[in-house]
Amino acid sequence: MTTPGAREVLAAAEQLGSELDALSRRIHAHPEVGFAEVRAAAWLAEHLAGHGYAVEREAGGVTTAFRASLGSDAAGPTVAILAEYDALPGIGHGCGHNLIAAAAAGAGAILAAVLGPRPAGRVQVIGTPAEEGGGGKVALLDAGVFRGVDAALMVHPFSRTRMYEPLLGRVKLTVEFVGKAAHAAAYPDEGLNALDAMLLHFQGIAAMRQQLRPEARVHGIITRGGDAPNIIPEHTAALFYVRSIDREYLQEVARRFEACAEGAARATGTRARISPEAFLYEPMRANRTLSERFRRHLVAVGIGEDPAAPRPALASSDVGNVSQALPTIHPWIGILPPGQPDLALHTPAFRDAAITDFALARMRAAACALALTALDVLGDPTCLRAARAELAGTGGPPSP
Amino acid sequence: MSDLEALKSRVAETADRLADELWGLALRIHANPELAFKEEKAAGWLTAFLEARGCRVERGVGGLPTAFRAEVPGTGPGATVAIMAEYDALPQIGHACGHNVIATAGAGAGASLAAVALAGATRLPLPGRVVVIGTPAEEGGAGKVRLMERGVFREVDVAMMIHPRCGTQLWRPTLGLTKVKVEYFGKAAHASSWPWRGVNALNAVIGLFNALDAMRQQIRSDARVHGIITVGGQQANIIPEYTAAEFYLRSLDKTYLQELRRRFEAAAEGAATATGCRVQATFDPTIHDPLKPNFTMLELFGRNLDRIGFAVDPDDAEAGYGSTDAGNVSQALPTIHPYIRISPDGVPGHSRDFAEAAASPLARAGMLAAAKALAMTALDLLADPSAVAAAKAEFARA
Repeated sequence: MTTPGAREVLAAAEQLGSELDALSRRIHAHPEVGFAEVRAAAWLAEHLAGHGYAVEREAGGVTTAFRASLGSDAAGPTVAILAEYDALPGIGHGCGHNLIAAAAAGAGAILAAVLGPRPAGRVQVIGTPAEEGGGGKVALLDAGVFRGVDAALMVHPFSRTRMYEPLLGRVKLTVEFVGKAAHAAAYPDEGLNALDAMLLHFQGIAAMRQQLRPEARVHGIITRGGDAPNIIPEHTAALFYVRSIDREYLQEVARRFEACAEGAARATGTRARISPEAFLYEPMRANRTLSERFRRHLVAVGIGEDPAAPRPALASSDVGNVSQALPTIHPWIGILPPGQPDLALHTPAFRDAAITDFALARMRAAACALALTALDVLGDPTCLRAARAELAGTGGPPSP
Repeated sequence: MSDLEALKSRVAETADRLADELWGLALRIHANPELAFKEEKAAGWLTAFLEARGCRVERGVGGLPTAFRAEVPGTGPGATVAIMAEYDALPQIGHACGHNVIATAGAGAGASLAAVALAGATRLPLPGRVVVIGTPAEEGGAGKVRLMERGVFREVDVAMMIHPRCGTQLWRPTLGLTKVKVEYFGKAAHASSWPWRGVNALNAVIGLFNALDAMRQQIRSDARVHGIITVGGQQANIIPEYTAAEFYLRSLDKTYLQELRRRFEAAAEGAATATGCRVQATFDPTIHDPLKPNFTMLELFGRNLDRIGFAVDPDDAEAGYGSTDAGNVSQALPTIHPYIRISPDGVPGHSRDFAEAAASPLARAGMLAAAKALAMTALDLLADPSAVAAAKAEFARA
């Protein structure tokens, strides 16, 4: 059997008509935050089931996750296309996950159409909830949902079309200080001020920033700053994100963060308690072998790469964890018409841009490029071999 | 009139006769300010004066070139009453602490007593002795601590001095004081091209100041912590690898001073931990003790001020307290350190205005009254062994 090409894929996409646009619009109009994407997950599952996929709901025990499978791993490699569909509190789809979802669902439908019911390998569309802070993909990785997956592909909307933009590793830390309460006017000298400790910790972080690598980030909020002004605060808490492009440096910055907290505790006579979140977001390791394939296919469907933005966006995503485990791509698809200035993610403006006709057309093109890249993974053994060698550090194209 | 009262009157008259000479000496010291341990002229003038008035003078006592001891002996065994004189000045602002007045009040008391002794025999007509001890370097050098360590106060039973102020108050506390130098050691790096290779020692010292500022809310209201940065970095384009600061910690309470020291060390170490620097805190081995009052002796001194019609003022609660090495003497033996007015109300010590006041007519009046009251109180103590016993009993109780 010959591997289907761009012509077949474009024809299959044409057959889908307005189905993908409607799916994308529906999700955009009904934003659901992380782990509460009940309707979006259901709509996507129904769509894929309608195109011949065997759909497993609540994959990995995560209520709003799913895994739609076509074919068998006995017949060849497994390629996974990742869908995200959670929204942001207050802003809605300010990160454009409605487009990610529709592109993945579209790629799945296209692949079903061009491969038929018995492909030489397996296609999965994995619904990954709660990218925005919930680490849905980390939960699915831990639950074994990615076991047997040879390559993972997804796209993300952006102001520009770019194959590689850094996604920083990120660890989420709760820091608490425990002191001793005392009446702040009558017996202040009996108190140990946990708010002093917190302020010193922030000052310590602020001072440290000068000595951090430019792409490292440390930022936080105070979630508990004391109970009443006339009580020397005995318990304070803050939530921090520590980020870096480099896994080792992330640990180094986390270590220095801890030293800041311990120093603040020592200086104030309080006790520091640091609780890292159970999971961390790994930095993105975009697979260049697969990214270059995707780039070529994207050009074939009419979209070229844009020049880099003056400065990188430096966000984090749970796809980073997937990318450290298996060959993974996370290319960025420009959804702004030519000439329009860049928009920041997580803004109402980007939310509005994520549902224009232009954006929907880009989403459909991205679905085609995803499908074509998936066909490479399934049908071209040299492609997967090179992608794996690159991840293992023994081959692959040079760094971009 | 009793013999004692007659003696007091003669001492007061002697002091009045010496007044011009004493004031001249005070103005000369004022016009020639000398810093701690370098008070050569002042010590020379004071010892010459006391010697000329019949005191037995020993210079350079306790191994300090600018210290001295001048004795006026009594008739036989008895108490040793010390009158302490200070005469060091401050950097830049001269005699802004009025030590020129302390010097001539103390020397005036000694000289007046010596003159009385000479008038009859070569000794005071009372048992025991009076010694004027010239104590250098009160301003930061803790001269009295050195003299105590070297035995200069060994035979002294009770000690007295006066200190100039913007009001006459018999008792005001002084704070215990401990000094510390803090150094941070980081790692230098180009501040623009490789800042992440640096470990910033200036961050550490700023962190320490921030921690101390925060700590102040939780320390007792009498406590003080204050400092300066003495090395703040080498150049703006180098992540500073070495910084240093100096601090004073003070409290009314010796025990609380230890607690402050413990918390200061924690703050200094915390700043090091937070920044990845190494810290070294070096405490000055000399601690200034807080002043321990002796109301038995203050009562005598107050009565003598009253006798010569010199008014005691109500305390001005607004002002805080300083520290003195007389505090260490007061923790070792019964000591008084009353304040004598030399300026109008509200003129702060260590100010240029106070330096001016230390050469004013008010200072002359205060010096003369203080010389008389010191000498008379010494006579009270020598004449009545039970008064010395009472002062010692109070010292032992507190």
